[in-house]
Formats: sequence, structure tokens, C-alpha cells
Amino acid sequence: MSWVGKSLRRKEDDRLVRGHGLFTDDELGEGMLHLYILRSPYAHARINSIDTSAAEALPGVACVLTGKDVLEHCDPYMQLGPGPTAEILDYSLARDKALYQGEPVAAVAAETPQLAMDAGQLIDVDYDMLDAVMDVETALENEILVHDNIGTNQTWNGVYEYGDVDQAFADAAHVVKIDRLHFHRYSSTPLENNACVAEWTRHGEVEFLCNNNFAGFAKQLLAPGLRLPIEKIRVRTFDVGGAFGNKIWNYVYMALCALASKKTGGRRVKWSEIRTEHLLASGHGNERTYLDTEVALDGDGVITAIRSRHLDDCGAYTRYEPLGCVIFSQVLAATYKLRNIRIEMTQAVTNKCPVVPNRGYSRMQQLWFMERVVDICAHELGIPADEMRLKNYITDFPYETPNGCVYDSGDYPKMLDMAKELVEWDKWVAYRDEARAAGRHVGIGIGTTLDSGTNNFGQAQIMNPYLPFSGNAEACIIRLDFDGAVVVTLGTGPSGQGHETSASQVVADELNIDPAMVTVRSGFDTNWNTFVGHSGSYASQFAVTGLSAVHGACQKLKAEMRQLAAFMLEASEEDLVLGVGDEGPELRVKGTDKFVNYWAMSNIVNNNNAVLQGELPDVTLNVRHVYRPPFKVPDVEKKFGNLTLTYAAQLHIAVVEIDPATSRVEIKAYAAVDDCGTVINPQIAHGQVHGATVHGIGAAIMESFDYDETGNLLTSTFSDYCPITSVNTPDIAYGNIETPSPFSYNGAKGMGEGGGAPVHTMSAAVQDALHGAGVIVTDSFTSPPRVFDMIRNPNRETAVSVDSR
Amino acid sequence: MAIKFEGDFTVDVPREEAYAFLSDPNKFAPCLPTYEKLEMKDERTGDVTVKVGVGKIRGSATVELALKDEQPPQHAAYDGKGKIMGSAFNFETAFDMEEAQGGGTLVKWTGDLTLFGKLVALAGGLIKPIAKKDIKRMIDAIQAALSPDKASSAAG
Repeated sequence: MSWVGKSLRRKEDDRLVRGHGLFTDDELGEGMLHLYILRSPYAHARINSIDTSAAEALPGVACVLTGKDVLEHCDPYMQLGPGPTAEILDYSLARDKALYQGEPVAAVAAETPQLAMDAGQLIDVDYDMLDAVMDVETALENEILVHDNIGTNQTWNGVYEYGDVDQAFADAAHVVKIDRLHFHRYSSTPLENNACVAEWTRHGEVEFLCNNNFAGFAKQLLAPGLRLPIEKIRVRTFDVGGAFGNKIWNYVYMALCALASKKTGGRRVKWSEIRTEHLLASGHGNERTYLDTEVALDGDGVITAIRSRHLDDCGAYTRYEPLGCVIFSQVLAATYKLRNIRIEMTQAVTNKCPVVPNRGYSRMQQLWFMERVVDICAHELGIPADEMRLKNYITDFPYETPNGCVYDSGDYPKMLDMAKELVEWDKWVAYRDEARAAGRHVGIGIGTTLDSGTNNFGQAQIMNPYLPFSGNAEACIIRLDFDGAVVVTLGTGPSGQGHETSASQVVADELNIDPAMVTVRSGFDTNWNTFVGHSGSYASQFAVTGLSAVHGACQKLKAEMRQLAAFMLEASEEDLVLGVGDEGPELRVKGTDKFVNYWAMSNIVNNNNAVLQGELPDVTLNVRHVYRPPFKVPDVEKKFGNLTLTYAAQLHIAVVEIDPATSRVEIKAYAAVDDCGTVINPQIAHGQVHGATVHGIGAAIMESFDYDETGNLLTSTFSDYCPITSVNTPDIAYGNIETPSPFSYNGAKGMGEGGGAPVHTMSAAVQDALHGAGVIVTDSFTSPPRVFDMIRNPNRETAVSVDSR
Repeated sequence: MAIKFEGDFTVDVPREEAYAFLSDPNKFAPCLPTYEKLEMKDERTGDVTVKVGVGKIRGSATVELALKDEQPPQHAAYDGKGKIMGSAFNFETAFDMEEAQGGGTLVKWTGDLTLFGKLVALAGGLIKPIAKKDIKRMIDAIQAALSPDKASSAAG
């Protein structure tokens, strides 16, 4: 019997649904201070002076921080980008200029959150407003500089060229030109916002309890930023209410709490973000514009080449950027087999909230682009969308892409068949055709996407050859505790994905015990010996890196247990079987009544070890395994190499009808098919798919960060930035196939991010509904006002052209 | 968020008198809606305290008001900026005066208001009608001071 593959109920849920979870904001303690952050109302403004006297005079205020304090105590955060980008000065508080609306300008630590907020209102900041640069194309003109000291707004530029693009265009039967596409700016709205408690201890160390989801990265930025040796930084998490990549960069706030603690003599300082702050200033997803796209196709509708210019708007700071300018190339040609590609990627800073990793980080934008290309070509050439995909899908695996990525496994045609069956394709095609005849706008859209998981950090060197990162790693420790309990320590820093449950299933299978007999420690701590540089929950990697570490640790523990049991039972290791007997988990000599249980083994090693008489000195029953995926450093010059280990796939189909009165996109039917290789826990995988689908549908039709021309974020509350709820969620017909990955020990592929399939799917469906009305969907956001505009201003004549030879 | 307004109104007094009123911050500032006080820094600039609010978001704001341009007797222009509860605003307003047919002065005015921050996020949709109402109150106040009989007939 195998526990892997069963829908074991999540171990975490017992405490979470009973309200016993421990989130950062639950942390309380006598003497704890509370931090309030004063933010810039301007998108771009010179800071002439900051008068903190009134705030400091308020009883109960412990300290006020401004840019001066930051300059005195901190160094700018390390930049990942090369050249001038490396000179960007990024601190936790603005110094002489505020660069986006919501940028922290000052902070107050006080006895209560309310007092801190009141004191914040007493801080008088004298600004001179400056013209803001609010789009990437204007930014690249460099007339308004975001960072004066680097002399340019461009943060990265590179060309990704593979195959013989010019020849492919010369040989093409059709060339489709798409003037402009745009992927809108949105983000994630985790139930728990960013939060941190910091204590600058009397030993000169800083201890953080927080919900950061990539502690290795945070430590490497915080330590030099706070002018501390890296071992002086301890980062702990416990329950985390969702991260979606966003919380990678909350080190900026962690540093503020630490500074406030330092300035108040080591008092613990807590900061808990409110929702408006999260929407305004805690990281947005990548916003991308695609210009001058040209697509070469043969006479059968097979895409043979693509060339395009991509412009990335990364907001005011390059936090984790310009990595997105490389990450997208993990899925350069998406699920399609074209070999000739030329994409010039350019990124610039603007006076918007900084971009940070967000579910589907940078790959989703490329996948949306490719799906738009496929659908636009299909419509323009009169090829049904499903046939167009079948002509172009990759079908043989493992498949090396033009830029050297290796797609491990997949079966996209099978997924398409399943999704069509689930959604009742034929029925809806008939419905669509009847509706169109009656003058209604009904469309069916397909979105195929990839969730590339387990990063090769060597790809960072494509972006900046001097970065000392490559590969990936994750660690796990398993020990038999004094009482024989199996205790597992992960390095994965979960944020709600059910790591405790999935890890228990793997351990149970390996030790032939029940998952209930396995204790997986909750949370994460950089002081645990499971912390490695890549530890964290991001980039869809737990099922591969996390569970491979668990699996490896199990092999080591089993080997030690066999050695010890063989010694104790005077038996051969080969004759021992693992299992559960009357006295709990045990090793037994096959076919006999000779056994030793876990308690006895642990007791021998830990409490009664004289009986070993010096034998088995290396057996500790406390083993550590570090899993390292088999990566190589990519060829930086050619931008060539395997950038991720696994490629989960999602294929969605949506049927939509556009309300003629409100332009609302009503979802009539929706199907989502997932392939994440071998499924560890079907219930968890289904939940991940459901969450990603709902998030993506919300992003497509409800969620957008819209700025006005002066840099005001107009959608910084849930009244205007409308995350999807159960009320708006359609029924989702779910299916999955399993094409096991040959590159992971268990056949699993990371799948938590979901690849943004609903965004592609909804764009496709809306275009299918409106193509007859002369509409090409060129923006990923199709809210009712946008759809209204599309219908009123058909764009097909200017958005696309076809040159057939 | 940028809001532009313009309009005109007439007052009974001669152009010179209208100009003298509108180019004097001590006389003009009290016409601002919910005016509380004015502290002049010099002849041309001062800090005006007003009460402002949208719905339940309410408080006092200090407006730095400056007479930016004066061309006696036909033109006076102010600019200003202020802050309230994590938000900020800038404005420019100008008055052009000409002799009205039938006597008195025709005052043509323009106003550009730019808002930043939380107020826009929380109450963006409400601000324009409120600002329009407040500007009407300001014009009414100017008319009431210069031409009490016309106080309710301002066009904007």
C-alpha cells in the first residue's frame, strides 16, 4: 500500500480550521512595540525636509525612523542587475526622493498600533512634486529619470535569438503582424498580509519572526543591508497565510522593524501590513508590453518563427529584477514546437510600485503572449483554435527547446481532449453558433500553459554573469526522537501548500508506517540545519526539491536503522523488514518474532549507548540530506541551458457570453485539466489547481492595478481592486492526467503556481466572442469597461495584419 | 487625479475693485470653503487652514497659498499645495477680469486641482462632485463679498 497518491486530509488543517494557527500577527509580548509606516502620497517627489518633532513628542512613541537613520545604519540592498542597474540605491526608506506612491518615507514605533499611526500623521514631510514616468515606453526615453544617479531608466536589455529566424520568414506562407499586446499589472492577495516581528538582541543578533517565503534570499540582502554578518540574522516563520511569491521581498520591511528595535534598545517591534498598503506598495506582478510581433507560418498553419520586442515595466526598484528578463525564457516557445525565435527583452524602471515575483512569475507573461499569438493567427487564418494548437503542440518528450530547456514529459493533445470532454465542447460550439446567429457574443477559448518548476539559479548569470548563483538545493532532516517518534524537519518554508501532509506521506511510504506516526515540524527557521541558500517555497518546486530531500533523508535513516537493528537483533540487514507491530513502528527479522521498535533503537543511541560498546559510531538516527538537481551553469553568451527541471502543464477551456447591457464576461462553462506528473496528494493538487484557476479568472476580468497619469494608484482597496470570491467563481470541471517526470525520483512536477492558464483562456474566449465584431484582444485584462471599449472601438484593422504569399 | 474647472461670474463692482479683492490673499483666502484661518508669511504667501473631508474621512488641512501672478487690473493667479491624512493636493487658480456689458465686472476663472494619495484611493469617485460643490461655494463667497445680490447666480 502506498500513501503517496492518496487524498490524505491535510495535517495542517486541524489547527488552522480550529483557529489555532500561529501567524506572525498573533505574536504578542510584553513590551512589544508596533511600527507604523508613513508612505509617500506622490509617485515622484523631492523630499526637502522631514519634521518628526511632533511625532516624537507624543507620549508612547519610542522612536521615529527617517531616511537619515537608514543612511546612518544601513547599506543599500544588493542589486542583481548588471551595469548601471547595479548602482541603484535601494533602502528601506526613501532618502532624498520618493519614487512611487506608497514608498515608505518614515516609520514610527510606539506602544500600540493606534498610537503609532496617530504619531505618523504628525510627521511633516515637505515634498516638491516631480513629473512622474508612468509607462515603460516613456521611461525608455530617459527624459524623466527615476534614479538620477544611474543616468538611465533602462535596467536590462538582451536578445534571445535561436534558429534561423530570417530564413523562416523568407520561407513563410503567411506572416501575421501584431502591432501591440499588453499584459496588465496585478498581483496576489494572500489572506495574510506581510508581517514581521524583529528583535535586535543584546548579543548583536537580529531575530525575525515573519512570513517571508525565501529566507535564503532575505538573509543575503538583510545582512549587508543591516551591516551584520550573515550568521547574525535569524529568520523564523510559522503558519503563513499564502505568499504566492510576493513575500520574497518583504525584507525591506523586516529591516525597518530591526532598525526600530535597535534604536529602542532591543525591544521587539512588530509591523503588520494593512490591505491597502499591500495593494499599494507590497509588490506587483510583471507588466509587459509586446511590440512589433511578427509570426511566420507555413501553409498548414504551423508556426515556424516569431520575432518580437518585449518591454517590461518593473516599477521603481529592481527588487528581484531584472531576473524576470531571463525567467520568461524558461518557457520561451511555450507548448509549441517552433525553433526560430528572436525576442528582444528590455526592462525599465518607472514611478510605479516595484515588481516582485508573483504566481507564474514572468513565465505567465510569455505564455500569455504565445497563446495570444496562436489565437490571433488561428482567427486570422480561419483555423479553429483547437486544430491550431494540435498543429503546433510539442508531442515528443523529453523535448529540448531552442534555448536548451528540457521539457521532461507531457501530453498536450490528451489534455485538450480531456478538457473538451469535461467542458462539453460540442454542446457549447452549437450554442455559440446559434447565439452568434442571433447576434449575441459567445466565445470559447483555450489556454495551454506551463508551470516550470525547480529553478536552475544559474539562469541568473544570463542576466548578470557576475552573480554567484547556480543550481538549486533543498534539505531535510529526519530523526528518531527519544521516544522513537519520527520527526521531520523541512527547509521548504511552507506558506499554506500542505508540506507537512505531503512529506508525511512520503516518509510513511518509505518507512512502511502510517502518516499519523510522522511529525513534520511546522514552520521554518534558518537556525535549523535544514536551511540552505535556496530554502523556501517559491518557483513550484516543493514536490521535486522538498520531497526529494525528504526521500533522500529517508534512505539515510533507513540505512542507519538497518545497521542498528541488525546489531541489536544479531541479524542480517537483508533479512529486516520495516513496518508497524504491536509495539509501534519497528524493524523485524522477516518471518520471526524478533523485532526492535523505534523507541528501543532511539534509546540505545541516545540514552543507553554503552551497550553499543563503541560499535556503530556513525549511527545517530538523526540524518540530513541535501537534494541538488542535476543542473549545469547555462551558456551565458548563447543564453542556452536547462533553466528548470520539470514542466507541469495546464490546459483550460472557457465558454463565455458577453452581456450586451453591461459588457460583463459571463462564464458559462469552465474546464481545467492539470498534468503535474505523479500526484502526491490528489486533494492538495486539486486545491492548488482550483486556487490558481480562481486567481487567474479574477486576474483576467476583475483585478488590475490602474494608475492615473500623476501616479495615483486608483485601485488600492478591495472596492476597486476586486479579488474574485466564491460568488464570482464558476463551477470548474477538473481533470488531470499524469505524465511522470523522468527527472524527479517520484515522477512529480512542481505545480503550485499554475502558469496563469485562466488569463490566457479568458483572453482567448473573449476574442472568440468578439472577433466577428472586429475585435482583437490585445490586453490581458478584460473587465466590463475594457470589453465595452473593445466593442465600441473595434481594433482589428490596426491591431493585426496578414501577409499571405 | 487631476481635475480641471472653469467658469465665469459677474460682480457689480468695477474691475479695479474686483482685482483688488482677488489679488489680496487676505481677502481671497476667507472665500475658500471651510476656511478657518490665514497666517501670512509675506505679502504674497500664507498658510490657510481649512476643514476638508469626504464622507467619514475628515480633518484639517493647511494650504500653502501663494499669489503667483498679478497683472492689474485684469489678472490674478494663485497656486497652492497642501496635505491631509496621508494625501496631498496641488492647485492653481486664475481670475481674468473684464468689464461686463451693462456695468460691473465679468470674472472668468480656471482651476486645476491635482490630488495624490489615500484620498484618491478611498474616495476617488466622490472627489470631483465634492470639489465642484466646493468651488461653487468659493465663487458664491467671492460674489457675496463683492456683489451680494448675485451671490447665487455663479456659473461654473
